[in-house]
Amino acid sequence: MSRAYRIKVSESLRKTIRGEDHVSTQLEILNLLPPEEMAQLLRDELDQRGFLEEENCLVRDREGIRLVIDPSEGLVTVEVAGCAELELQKEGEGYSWEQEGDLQRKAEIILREKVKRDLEKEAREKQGELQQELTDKLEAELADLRRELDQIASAVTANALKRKAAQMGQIKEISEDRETGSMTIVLEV
Amino acid sequence: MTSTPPSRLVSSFEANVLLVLQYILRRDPYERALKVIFTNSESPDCLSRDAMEVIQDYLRKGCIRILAGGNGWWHERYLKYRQVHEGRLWQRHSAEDLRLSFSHHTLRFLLWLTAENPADKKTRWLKIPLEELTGADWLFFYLAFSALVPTMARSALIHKPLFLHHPLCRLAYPEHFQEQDALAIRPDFIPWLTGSKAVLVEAFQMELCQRWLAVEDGKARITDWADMQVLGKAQEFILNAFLDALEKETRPDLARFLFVTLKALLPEQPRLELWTRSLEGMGHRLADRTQTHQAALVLPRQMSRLHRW
Repeated sequence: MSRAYRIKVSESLRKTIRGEDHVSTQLEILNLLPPEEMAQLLRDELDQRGFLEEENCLVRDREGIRLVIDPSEGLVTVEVAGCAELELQKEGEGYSWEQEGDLQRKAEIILREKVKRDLEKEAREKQGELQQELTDKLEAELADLRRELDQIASAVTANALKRKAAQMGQIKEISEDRETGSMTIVLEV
Repeated sequence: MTSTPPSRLVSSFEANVLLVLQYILRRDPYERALKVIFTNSESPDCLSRDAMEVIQDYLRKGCIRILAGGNGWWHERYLKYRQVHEGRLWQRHSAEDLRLSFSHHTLRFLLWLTAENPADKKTRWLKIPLEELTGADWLFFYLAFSALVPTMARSALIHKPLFLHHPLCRLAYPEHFQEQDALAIRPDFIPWLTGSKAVLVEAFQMELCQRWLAVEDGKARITDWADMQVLGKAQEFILNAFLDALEKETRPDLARFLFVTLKALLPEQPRLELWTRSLEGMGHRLADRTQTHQAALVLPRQMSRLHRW
């Protein structure tokens, strides 16, 4: 009478999983001055806020979130990236009609392939979890970033207005209401 | 006393050619023609004089009926090269630009289509030298594409160089050109902005509008966000090629169909759900969701460009 022999295999998987996410938007700044001057005002404002120059863009890295602003285009990109080292191990059990020989070897190969597929599936799930974490992190930061970008746009607009006013005449008085964001410039022309 | 037209005697193969031609010219319903198109038959060495005369007659009358029948007969008024142009299609263009002159490639394709089965993977497709095609030939191939794309021949058709390089096919049917080979070929619209080819673009303004409305309407039934992205990418690709050419040659008048399309498409207060209501999610990443939104709104996003014009 034939009997089934239990076979056991063990496989491991070592892999680096990566995730990234990003969103882009445009800074809405009125072109009160020529584009080069507006770009310089934006550059100066970002410089004051701790941004660093990197390949014609201003960049800030904070708590894993990278903010990249192209002052000439007004394009803002918010990026998040992450990676993790995975070390997974899994055992599999199956049965063979032979204790050793061709049938046993074939059964072992099939079992190993199945265990490897399970490990790959687990790795994909982990990658998905990492990706979701990064996306959630980025989403959580967006509200604050939006406020900050509005402040940057307002500051640049205010500075542009002052410069424009100075070109038109002599500034007698400037009053700013930070709460409402309004500004009054009194000019003598 | 009216004279009766002379009776013609054609062979059964020639009768099939006429049937296929009538289908392409949107005269004959598809049932009879498709049976012929998807069956292999023996093509004769040449056609009879009677058959040739009927083919020429069908092409002459059929093409004019199609060009005049859509929006060609409309009395339109618009700016072209900063000057007001008005009248019906044939009143706005010179006789030279309105002339339809077919090369032998139209007949070659017609005979091939009647004899071969274009849906059969073993069929060897005709090689058509694109540089030899006349405006009338391009019109014929556009009509052939629109006749065959809803059939079993579609999967072969959309990969053929003749149609990949056909600006009007690409513009009217962007949803059929989503694959890598299509996105690697940017059709050249510049030659289509003057002369007889520009007449074709004008004559098909209403059809282009109907086609784009159909594609936009179809977006509401897409469930997979990745499919939405692929479709949006194909639409944006061809729109950019078209609009870039119009801007370069100062022919914004040829984009009139886009204004009509947008007017019909957008209600008083448009909402994203108009396009995305069937989507099961927008994407896992924020970047994917943004891309999905952009793909859904490809057409409305052109408004800022059109507004600048």
